[in-house]
Amino acid sequence: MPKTLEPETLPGTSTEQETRSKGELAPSYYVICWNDPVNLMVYVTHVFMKVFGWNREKAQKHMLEVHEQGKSVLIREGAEKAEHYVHQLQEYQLHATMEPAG
Amino acid sequence: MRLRRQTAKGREYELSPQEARYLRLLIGEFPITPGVTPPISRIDSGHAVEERQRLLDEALAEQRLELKRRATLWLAGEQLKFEGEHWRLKVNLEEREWLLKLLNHSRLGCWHALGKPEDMEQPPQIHSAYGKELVYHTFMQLAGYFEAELLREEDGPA
Repeated sequence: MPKTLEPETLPGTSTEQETRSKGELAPSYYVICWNDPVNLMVYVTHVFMKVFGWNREKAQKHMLEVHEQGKSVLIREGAEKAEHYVHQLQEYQLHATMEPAG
Repeated sequence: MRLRRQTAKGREYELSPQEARYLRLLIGEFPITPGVTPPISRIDSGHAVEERQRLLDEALAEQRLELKRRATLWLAGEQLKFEGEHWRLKVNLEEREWLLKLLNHSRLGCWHALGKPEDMEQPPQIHSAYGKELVYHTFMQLAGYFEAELLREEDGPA
């Protein structure tokens, strides 16, 4: 993986999954994976498949986004689920955070 | 390290004596470095974030203990067994996951201990009296090697 890109702002990209219903007031969070030069690309793909149950194609798409753009928004969820995913990803030692979706 | 057999339940690898020795060393020495917990958020702050960070730190500390427990059991077991000229490594899908986590814990920890170098192929700068940087560099490379081998069948031929 290439150099780590320090984020300046939250990503404004669209998310893969939105589970909140319209009108729901609970805050939602982006789960973001940040790039680093040490995690192997094949390992990152594997972790995304395991944690999110994604197929290889989708997992690789997000892995490449991390690799090429410095970060990838993996999912948008409520606080509890976002926290759960961050725990899962960090147990694999990926640099994942949860950021308010605004 | 060569994939010898693959079923729905697990995989069987063939290792050279040198590979087997290094794998046992990596697993036996776990944790090579203290754990590294990145912040749970880069921009969010406040009491809720502090609480989430505390829970994450606790969860990762518990995970390290669990990995150490599994490593101890693994070393006492027969998953890695000498067979004639080679060593045979048997891993089911669940074992592979914790092995990957353990190996990557060591890889990340050594990378942090080396000062997070961008180029990991370069030999490390030696600052310590006993050349601990060389140990970290070697462990980091070895862990990456075994991770790649454990995932090789998913990624296709190298």
